[in-house]
Amino acid sequence: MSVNDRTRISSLIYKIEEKISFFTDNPVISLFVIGVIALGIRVLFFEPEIPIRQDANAYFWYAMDMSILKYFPVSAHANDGWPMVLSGIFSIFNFSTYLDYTILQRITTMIISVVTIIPIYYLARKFFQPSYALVGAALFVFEPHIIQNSLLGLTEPLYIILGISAFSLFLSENKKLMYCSFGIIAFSTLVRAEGIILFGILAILFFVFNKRNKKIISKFFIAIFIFIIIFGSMTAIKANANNDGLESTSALNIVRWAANPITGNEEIKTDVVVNGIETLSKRIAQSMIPYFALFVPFGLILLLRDENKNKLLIIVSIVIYLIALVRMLSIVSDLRLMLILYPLFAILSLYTIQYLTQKLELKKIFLVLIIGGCLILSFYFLYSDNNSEYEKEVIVFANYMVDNVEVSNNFYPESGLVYGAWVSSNLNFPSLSYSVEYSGPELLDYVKNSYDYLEKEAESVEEYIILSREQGLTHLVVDGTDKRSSYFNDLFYNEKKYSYLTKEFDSTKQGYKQYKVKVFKIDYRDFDSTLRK
Amino acid sequence: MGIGFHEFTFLKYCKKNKDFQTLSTLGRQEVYLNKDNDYVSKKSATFVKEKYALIAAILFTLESNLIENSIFGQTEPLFILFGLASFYFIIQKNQRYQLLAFIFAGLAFDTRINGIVLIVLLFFALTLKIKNHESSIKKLVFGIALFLLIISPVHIIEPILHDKPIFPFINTVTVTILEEQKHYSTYESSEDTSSSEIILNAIKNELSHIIRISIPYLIIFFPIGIIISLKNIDFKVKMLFLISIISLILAIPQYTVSNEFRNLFFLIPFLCIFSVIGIQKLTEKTEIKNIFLILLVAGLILLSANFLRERYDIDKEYFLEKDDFGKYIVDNYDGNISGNIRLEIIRNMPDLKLSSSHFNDKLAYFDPGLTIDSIPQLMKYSKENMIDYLIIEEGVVQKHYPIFNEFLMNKDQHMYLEEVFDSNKLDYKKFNAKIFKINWELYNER
Repeated sequence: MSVNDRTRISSLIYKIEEKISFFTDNPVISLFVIGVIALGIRVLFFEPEIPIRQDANAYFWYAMDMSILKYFPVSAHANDGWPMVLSGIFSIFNFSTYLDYTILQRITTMIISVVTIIPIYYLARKFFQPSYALVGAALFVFEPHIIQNSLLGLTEPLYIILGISAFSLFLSENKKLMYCSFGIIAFSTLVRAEGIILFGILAILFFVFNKRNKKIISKFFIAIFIFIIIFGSMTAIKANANNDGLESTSALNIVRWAANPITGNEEIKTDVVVNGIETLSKRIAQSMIPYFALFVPFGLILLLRDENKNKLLIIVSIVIYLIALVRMLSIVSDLRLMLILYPLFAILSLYTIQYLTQKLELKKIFLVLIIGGCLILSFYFLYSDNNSEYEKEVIVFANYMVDNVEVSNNFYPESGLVYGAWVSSNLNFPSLSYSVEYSGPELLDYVKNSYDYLEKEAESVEEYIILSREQGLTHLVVDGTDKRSSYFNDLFYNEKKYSYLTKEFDSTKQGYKQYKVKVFKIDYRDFDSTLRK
Repeated sequence: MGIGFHEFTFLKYCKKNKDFQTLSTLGRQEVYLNKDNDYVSKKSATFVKEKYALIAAILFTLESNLIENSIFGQTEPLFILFGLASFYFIIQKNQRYQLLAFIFAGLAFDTRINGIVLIVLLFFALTLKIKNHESSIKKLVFGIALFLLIISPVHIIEPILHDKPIFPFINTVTVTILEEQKHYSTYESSEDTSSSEIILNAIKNELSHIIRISIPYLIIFFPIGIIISLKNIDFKVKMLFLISIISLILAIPQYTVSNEFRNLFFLIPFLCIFSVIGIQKLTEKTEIKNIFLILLVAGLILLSANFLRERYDIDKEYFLEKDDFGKYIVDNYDGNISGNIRLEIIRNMPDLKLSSSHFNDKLAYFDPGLTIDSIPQLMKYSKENMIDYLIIEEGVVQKHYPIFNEFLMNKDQHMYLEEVFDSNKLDYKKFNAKIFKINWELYNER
């Protein structure tokens, strides 16, 4: 290669660097481009024909009721903020099917998740130059767990955007905006009860950031006042609608809820903590996949070395939230609980990325390459984790359940689609939840008149049937997965041993490729005679 | 994390040499191959500083695609070893080593056909490196003779002795491109495809596999390394680019017959070197770089381990039952067989011999080697090979025999295929297959 060739390549590289500067100089355009790509990925992995599941269904109905009634109906679940917002959106549109509304619900969470890049950009700007802040926004919005969650129509996208907006405003130099952050935190507490932890974090930081201010107490009261006005008014509305005082306001009961099992005997306390720490470690490792693992650990060290006062927000938030997560994850081990930390992981990653690139002349090209690499890793993760074919077969099976089964065992999470299949085929919308009489398959969870799980209480298929018989059990649905009891798996694989069960459905015979499931009808006469023997 | 050939070689190398030395140490500034043997340090094969060369070795050793491949006992680890040895000698300044490069290129070619890349690279290297034209031609001719000598037993003498065309791979590729044959892994649809489409498809698959082999972590670093290298191209970097480009070009014909990303595994060590070039540049003006490198390695371990964990989430019971069914067929059936569970049948056949089929005195398993997607095609193949039984596994994606699913759904329309055995009779829990006997009389009467 001649010297001329080399010069040509070099000048081409520098030209590209210059072109990229256009984007870093125009963050609005860059954010728009990042947002469009992020939305494109979400649309690509969006399966509209698969209905929403349990939690999302509860939010759906509350939003539907509110959009029709135009007032706050009785709430049966902990977090009302998201269905409140959703009801406003539902009232704009007029669809006739359940699926259309659920698609709208999921598109809304997708859009909220993408729009989160704006507060993340502003939060990152408190620490870094615009070019790095853009990278932070991209790292967050391309993160595959965030993408997957945004497709489900759940609370997290709204919770994250409110939480991060509050953080961003809190660090604002305009003190009025700092007070606004407490108002936004109040909204986030309505969306998810854990928002109260964010309030605690901001309260601590308020004192840390204003410790030299003589009027700190009075200012803090203003902040508290804003929080209480918003949170309190919604609490009062909910208490009024439910007519149960403050019982159903989960954020107010969160301390009691968190403390109860721990304040028992010493053994339980240790168990809970150990279990929580173990789950937390796994979830942290999981959240580092596919790309945070390369940037976050070193970013933590750089954060500690940073002299920027704003770093306290990241440190305090991570420490307090992780402590709270030990308790939360000991009960529910879902990664969803950690998603609020992802924007902070993106900021930590920026420390590493800035450390690596800030002294380089081709900095912007490298930043684009890093984002490109992360995008590919994310895409691969989503692609390899995508089981839409499986889900589509589960939907087909859910429709079979609706038409052929009256009462069966619950086979969560697959059974989560049965309700959606029933609603899709039986209801016209808009409908009020209390006007709907569910006549689909009943899926049994608990022993009659108790909260003991049937599947845990029984030790054999026979015991399960005996325990559920009074509740009208007609069928057993078994799919041989590791989520089921060993005795159900035994039935799946050794059906001939159970003479009193008649196989009515076998997915393999129906040409299913992915979901292996069998449905057995119970012949109680045969069952009784078998027991007598 | 895998005790295959690749790791074995790696560990053995580490033990034998005083210095920490792996296949990937091409990137070290001081290349110590073996001090004891006076094979002393050469300031030659340098891409990055020693510390970063160690990172290259780690990137290579932790690379999950290679770890996965190494436990299958396949050819790639040995091929990469020979290939890298050849590449190492190609970039040496001392021209005496060129002959060693030809020898290792020959060995690499014997191991995998992709070794042809090295001989092409050697040709370019000699052209670029040796100024004296006459001496260059002499060396090249002598080197090629050496190369041919090494590859002749496998690729020339053996085919001639067995009355087959020399370099049989060339024939396979030609037949595929001329649309005369569809292979399992390159099969896409039942529609006829033209030669240009086959080649375009091969290029498309290859490009997507470049990304595939860069996952889970090289994708972040190697593009940066490429940009940095482009700014400062010397002979060694030129060789690095050349071997990557030649590998990609020569893999195109390979992709017409085999759409497997392991075709590109030879590129991985070079992507590791590009990656460390990038990492070195990114960290060269920074403080606490050792801490960064340690945490980076920790992150790499996590990514690699997670990647392998996800890919190895296999159902052991299912595979054991499948193998048992293969043994059952071998023990209880005579005649010519085709269909699913090829590996399990072959593995359990005693006194196995190989010609156009895998066979012993009792049984012969026929593998069409191409995709069967219609009943006439299936019956034509079965007739040509006098197949008695077809083995069909239920509830799986039929890559090799897409027609089986259609057949299972409409069994009644094909009465000449009589079900003679169902694996359910063996009380399997997870594996489900059926054996069908072809009633040729009934078929001919249709």
